[in-house]
Amino acid sequence: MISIVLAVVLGAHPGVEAKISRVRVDAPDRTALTLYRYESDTALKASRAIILFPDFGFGRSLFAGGDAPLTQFLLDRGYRVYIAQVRGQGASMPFDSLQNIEHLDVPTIIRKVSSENAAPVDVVAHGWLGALVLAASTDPTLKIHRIVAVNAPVTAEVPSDLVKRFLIAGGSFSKLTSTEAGLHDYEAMMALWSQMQSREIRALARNGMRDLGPLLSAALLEWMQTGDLVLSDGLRFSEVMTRYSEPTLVLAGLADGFANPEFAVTLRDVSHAQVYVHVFTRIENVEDYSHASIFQGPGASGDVFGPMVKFLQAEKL
Amino acid sequence: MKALCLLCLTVLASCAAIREVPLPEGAKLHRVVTDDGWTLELTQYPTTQPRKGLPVLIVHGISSNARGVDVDATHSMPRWFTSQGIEAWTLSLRGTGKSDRPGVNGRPDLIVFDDYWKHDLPAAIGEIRLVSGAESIDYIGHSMGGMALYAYLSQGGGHIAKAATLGSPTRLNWGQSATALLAQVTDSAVSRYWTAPSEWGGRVVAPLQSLMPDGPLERILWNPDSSRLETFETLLAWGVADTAGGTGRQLIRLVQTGQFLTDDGSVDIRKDMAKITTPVLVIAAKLDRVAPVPSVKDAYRLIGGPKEWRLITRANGARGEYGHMDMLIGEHAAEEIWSPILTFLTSP
Repeated sequence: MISIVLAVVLGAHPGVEAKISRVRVDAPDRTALTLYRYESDTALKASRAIILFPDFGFGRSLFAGGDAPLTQFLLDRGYRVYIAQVRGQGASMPFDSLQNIEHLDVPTIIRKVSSENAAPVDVVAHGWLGALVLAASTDPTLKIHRIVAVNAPVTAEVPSDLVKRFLIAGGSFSKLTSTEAGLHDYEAMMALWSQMQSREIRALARNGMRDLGPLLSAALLEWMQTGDLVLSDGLRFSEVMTRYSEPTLVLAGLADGFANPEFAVTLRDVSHAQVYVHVFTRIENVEDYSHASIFQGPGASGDVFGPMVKFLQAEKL
Repeated sequence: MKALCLLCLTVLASCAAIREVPLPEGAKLHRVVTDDGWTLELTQYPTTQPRKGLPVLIVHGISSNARGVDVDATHSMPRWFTSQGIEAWTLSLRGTGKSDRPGVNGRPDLIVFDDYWKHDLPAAIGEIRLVSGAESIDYIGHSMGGMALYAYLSQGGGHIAKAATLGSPTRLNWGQSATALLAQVTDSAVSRYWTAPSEWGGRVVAPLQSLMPDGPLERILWNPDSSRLETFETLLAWGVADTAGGTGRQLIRLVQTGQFLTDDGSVDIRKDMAKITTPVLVIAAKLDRVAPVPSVKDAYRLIGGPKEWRLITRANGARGEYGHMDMLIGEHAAEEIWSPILTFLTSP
């Protein structure tokens, strides 16, 4: 079912001393998905693999770009790192439905990574796509060790008038970031009150994003407005999450304007899993963290990545 | 030594410079006695406008007093409501403002959160009903003032027609080490009978705020995006009250376990909030770091009756982001927060 069609060594990414491979993975419906594999000499000896799922609209630069990317942080700690691109993201084939992503893409990618690694894999699930990853992980055949859910909304609601307007307009980041007002709106959703430099936010907005497109925007908006999502097996997202059992660290940035923290923290209420919640605020963190700045803010390494790895590597929770 | 004296003199001089703004002409102080013998300060702000709705009782949060919601002429929720045709009342909960402990020898100096909703709110609501002739009144609670409302309504309290809460949490266990540490210190070192001198502390640190841009109080309590430093200084100087150790100890469970219980632990207020049938408008501020949005949304989800949710943020049309106190002192709070409350309270 799964076949590697393409394996290309892309070479070193600026700031990341690693061998990077692009791997094509086919979903059961023959949709071509993409996995980026980051390996260093340390990682080759490592026994642990981790898959990073960036939210819709983001490319792998969310995890691999910037001054102190998460990929490098994980490589330095002995991980083999995979960045997943489901349908509608990066080099994968176009989006068709949220249901197919949950039912086909996420399990396919996790199985592919599991096939390359003996131990169960760790997962970082970000945003609305991250919520689908959580639902998909209820499949007991998937070999998952632990999950870090970053601003992944378990209780769906429309985050704000701004997000609603953005999605109704078709979810075009390129259009949004073509004006000063649009850049302010981008900041309100993705990097509100961030310590990131303005030029960094603009660079991410202009170069690190991919338009959602009308189909995905409409699907996301419907999920948010109805508060639930019917998955491909006919079960509702909210029902599936009651079966959720993976040990999980929920990280939520107070300033997130795209997947608000109040939607993410409910995982411990709706599931019977071992769930630990941390909401970032500027009282004790470098910033309140938003949807993008939680990975790219100047304090992310200490505030976010450190606790993330501590949770994943803890012998006992 | 000389430098220390100079610093003290500077602080004292600065304290004196932050003047208390007098109550508006026509404001009337009522002294109301609770069923357990406390005498509370209840201030009536009569309206000169044609009446639009029921009288509204506005209740402050922890470590605050009635002046915390009436900082000065332009940063005052009660004055703004009277300008809109609503008779407003403010209450200093027991142990704050001029709400004094009874002069009975031997009475333990203990105040817990339960005292506010069991004794203070019924007394205040009863007095307002008596004076105004209204069968029911409306209610606005900031922070702990909203929590007191949740407890009051969930345990069968009546005569509230509609209510609004601002930044009122029902759980605070979000894995934050600073709040966890504060809870731990409170739990292990603070006596239920001790009173933290936060009123004095507020007066002392108020004039120092200009020396500490982006300082701890700014990070915790307010946002220069929405409020002016001078207003926050006045709030600190006159709107802060001593903090009862018993109240602090009762509420630390919100941080430690996420539970909102009565002092004796026998009643789960969070659970009982499903019994609330009074319409409530629940307001949260995006950058409220005292009552983070998930804490406030938790309350909204628990309320059993009619309810509305409003998140104050630029992404919903606000001109700036609000912190915990900005909902009371923000330059545009009247337009962006109080006005929607008025609409909610006066809508059919």
